[in-house]
Amino acid sequence: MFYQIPATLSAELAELDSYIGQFKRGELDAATMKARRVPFGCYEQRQDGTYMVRVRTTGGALTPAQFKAIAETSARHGGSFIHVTTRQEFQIHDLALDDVTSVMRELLACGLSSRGGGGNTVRNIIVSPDAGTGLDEVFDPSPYAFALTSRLIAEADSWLLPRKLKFAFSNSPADTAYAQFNDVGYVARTENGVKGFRVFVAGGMGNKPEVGHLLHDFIPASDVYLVAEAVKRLFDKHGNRKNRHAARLRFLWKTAGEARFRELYEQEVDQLRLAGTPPLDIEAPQDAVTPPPLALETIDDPEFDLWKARFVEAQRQTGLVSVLVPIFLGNIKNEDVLKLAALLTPLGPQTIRATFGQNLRLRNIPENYLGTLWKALRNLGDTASPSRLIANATACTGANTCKLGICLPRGALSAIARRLAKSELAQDAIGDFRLNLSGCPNSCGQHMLADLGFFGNAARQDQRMYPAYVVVAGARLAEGDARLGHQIGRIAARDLPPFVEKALTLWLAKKPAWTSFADYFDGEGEQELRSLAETFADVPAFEDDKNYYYDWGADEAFSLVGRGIGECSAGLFDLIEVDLRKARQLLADSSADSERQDESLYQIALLSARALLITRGIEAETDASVFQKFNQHFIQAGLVDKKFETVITATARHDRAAVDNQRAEISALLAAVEALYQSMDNSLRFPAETTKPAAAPVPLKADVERDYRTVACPMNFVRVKLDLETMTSGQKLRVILGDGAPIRNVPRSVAEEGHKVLEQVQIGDVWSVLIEKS
Amino acid sequence: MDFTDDRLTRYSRNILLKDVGVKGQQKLFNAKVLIVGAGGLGSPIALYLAAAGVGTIGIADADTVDLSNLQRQIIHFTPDVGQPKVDSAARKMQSLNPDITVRPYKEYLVADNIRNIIRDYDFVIDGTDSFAAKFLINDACVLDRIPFSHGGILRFQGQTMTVLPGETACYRCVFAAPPPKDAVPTCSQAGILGAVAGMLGTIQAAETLKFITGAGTLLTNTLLTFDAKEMNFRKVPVHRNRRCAVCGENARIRELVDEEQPSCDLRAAGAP
Repeated sequence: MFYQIPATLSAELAELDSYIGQFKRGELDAATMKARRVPFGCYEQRQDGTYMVRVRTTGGALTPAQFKAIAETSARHGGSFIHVTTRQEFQIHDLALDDVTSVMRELLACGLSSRGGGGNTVRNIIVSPDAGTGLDEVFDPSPYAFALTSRLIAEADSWLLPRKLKFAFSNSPADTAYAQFNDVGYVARTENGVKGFRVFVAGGMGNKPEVGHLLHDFIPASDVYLVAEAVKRLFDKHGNRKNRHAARLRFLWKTAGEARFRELYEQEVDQLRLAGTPPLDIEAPQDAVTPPPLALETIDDPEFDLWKARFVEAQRQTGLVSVLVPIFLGNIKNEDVLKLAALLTPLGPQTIRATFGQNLRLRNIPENYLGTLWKALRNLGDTASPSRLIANATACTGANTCKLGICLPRGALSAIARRLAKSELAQDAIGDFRLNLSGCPNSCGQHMLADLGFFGNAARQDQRMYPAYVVVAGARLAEGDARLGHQIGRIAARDLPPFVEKALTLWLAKKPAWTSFADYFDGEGEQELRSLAETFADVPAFEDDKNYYYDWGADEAFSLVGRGIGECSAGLFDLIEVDLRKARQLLADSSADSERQDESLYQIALLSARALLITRGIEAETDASVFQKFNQHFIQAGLVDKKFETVITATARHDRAAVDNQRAEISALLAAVEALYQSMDNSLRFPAETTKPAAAPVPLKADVERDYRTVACPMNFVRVKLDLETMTSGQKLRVILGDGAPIRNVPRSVAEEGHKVLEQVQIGDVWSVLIEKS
Repeated sequence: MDFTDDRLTRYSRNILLKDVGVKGQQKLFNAKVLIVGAGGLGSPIALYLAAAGVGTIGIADADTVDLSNLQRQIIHFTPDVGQPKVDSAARKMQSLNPDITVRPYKEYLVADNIRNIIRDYDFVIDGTDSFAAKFLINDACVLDRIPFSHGGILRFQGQTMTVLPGETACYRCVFAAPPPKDAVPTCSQAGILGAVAGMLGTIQAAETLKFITGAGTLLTNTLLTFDAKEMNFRKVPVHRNRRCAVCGENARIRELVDEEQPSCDLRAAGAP
């Protein structure tokens, strides 16, 4: 149903099985394993050893039978819920590596695949959620999206691209599928009665979002595949495979320039035409089925009327309606899926789509069954929603499960929902409004396309970090008019709920005078929102209000230490750059006024010393420890010239005379740190470290040494745990252990906790064991 | 907190656990937990938390030890009869573990004082025997967003759930209001098997330690009930109630009032 899975998938799954086997026997390293599993839509969750599988569902379309099968698979192997993504996919969570291929085989049995759920592949193709039903649509592009999926996922080169490639289909010029923000976007239109599309290319969200460029004003629908394939080949040949941070199609557009890009594209099109590329086989969209054998319920209840007003939408098919089912934060319990699937089965296969707001949109529901449906929906777990506003609000998973996350946007959204529910704000009067949150600058929460959006960020007050969000607002989506939101300020995560309440209250008062939020934003809204954000500028010190230093739903004080190294370090880079910019600014501003110059120089030295500490997993609490750690981890480690030791120690002592004469020296220190930062790679390593001769045959050096030959089990292991606790990741501990039970047990226990045992050598009647902290 | 040799040894069985470790032990030292009631539930809870090294433990009860308590309130011994329960409990806890700070509150927790007391704690444990007190603790904890463990026992049965206010179902989401007067007997009328109090209190203590260390999955959105007669344990899924009077969308409870007490037992926040 919806798309065809190529026959090769079975063999590919067998191959994946064998990789997993090798990995478990220690014959395959973690990085290679990751590269093998991610293109199958299998990601490791934040918790080590736990995996997620992302199921491809074009346009979020599923039959009730498939929906049921996903929930059954999830219940059998995974967690208690299914997650609906912001790209209309369905995810099964909390899987053991052993279960991953079983899950994929069960999906295959019901016509679903997770191939291309991740990695540098053709990703899930998205479609306007109301395609096929919308009152304003030009025509239904879904059949093209389904057929394009079938064709592309049968081509081997779709899995080996320089970076991911995303396609979208909108059914109207309102661009309700973000066609202008995907690598290739099709917007339905007709010309002289011929069905076709306007095509946009090289748009995208991610870390550096970009509005797509017009590639074709009109292509006949028969050229959909030709265009897609030409772009794919162009990307395959010319995309940047070296730097994954500048690899998306939009970077190719930028580096090649529009003219060259078009030329390369036309070459691919010509070749495809010469080769006689056949158009897609389009199945005519099936219209709704005969009335189902369900009991009719007539309901006389004001809550029913409110629900209808909030969530039921007319369709262009008379007598049929669509129903938005809010799924709070996109998580729906397996058992609720089963109930819903049972209810929808009699209503036919064309009843379920997912939305970009991580909700379900049921379609082709006979109007007279609304009462029956309402009653059934009320019995589902978390699908009840306070309002359409909150139902459509989107938050990515954030640092809860995502290794890239900085903040916890789901906790923040829950807090916003609580705040609004308690407030006087007339949420139903707001109508359709895009409120979006992402946990980091990547755009999974689509904050750049929001009316009011937020992305996670780390800020600092004194030496302490607190979670914060950058506020963006005023995006426009309509074709030809599209633009990303503007940054209008930054506020502490703690202040998000009151900020949103106040911003919406402002908007509601102004709403009658404007046609859209974006118009209001351009008129007077931007200034008003900026002023509003400024009223939240002050963040209390940790001692005065600890709440600001805990993210929503977190039980530990906010910190970036140990986060996301090697995956994406956007949050870390941000913090480092803030420090270095501030230092640079201070240096430029420091005047001849010697009183102030002293203080500036001290601050510059402090910021320079502090900026890179976080790359070593260090958070210093006092100025003195900033200097001390910098000395230890950068100067003594040989990353920064030894000559700076004097100025660092003098500054650390607040030695006025020393600082006074050191302007040149401190400015050189800043330059040295900046240069070091520039040379840092994406795994937060510096050239000096990577070029060091690795593992010489001489005994490996340890950072900490302990002799526990007289300590019995299990206290020896307790002591080792304590030692490791005081060390930083990557440091090495050498312990001397007694023969017998100690050497049999301690290294094994250490390895079970995730640390690496690098060597274990017998010396007389004791053992020397070298452990690397994870 | 320094990990001296003695402390490492004392807490070694915690530290050995992967899910606890040195970090978890540090969290336990830093934690502040309030036990309401120094009776059948409070006894095992207080002893296990003290033993585990929970750094600050408050314990509230206005009663004195009665001979009839000793059958189940195992923190109190025969010579303690007539002494304030919190003093008796604090002595045992301190003697079990001199590392920790015990704060006795020799008072009933009522609407007027409860919020001032709980505000200082990271986690609250309900070890009381009256519905009025259970609702009071629930409402206070929800209003101040302090996670807590609900517990109740009767004859051979026990029930408990852990509440993270604002995130998971609270006691009032599940049970809207106290039952009518005398609809349900209290322990003093109905009787209780001492070990049943120990079972439930121990489950609550384990939940508390899990909450502090972050280990495992809490009994949130889940009411655990058991019947020791048949040794049946059951987990009943519960949900947040949109209409909950204290944590729902239009919560009507914004400040605390003391519910009327069941007529057979006029002590608030006493112990079973």
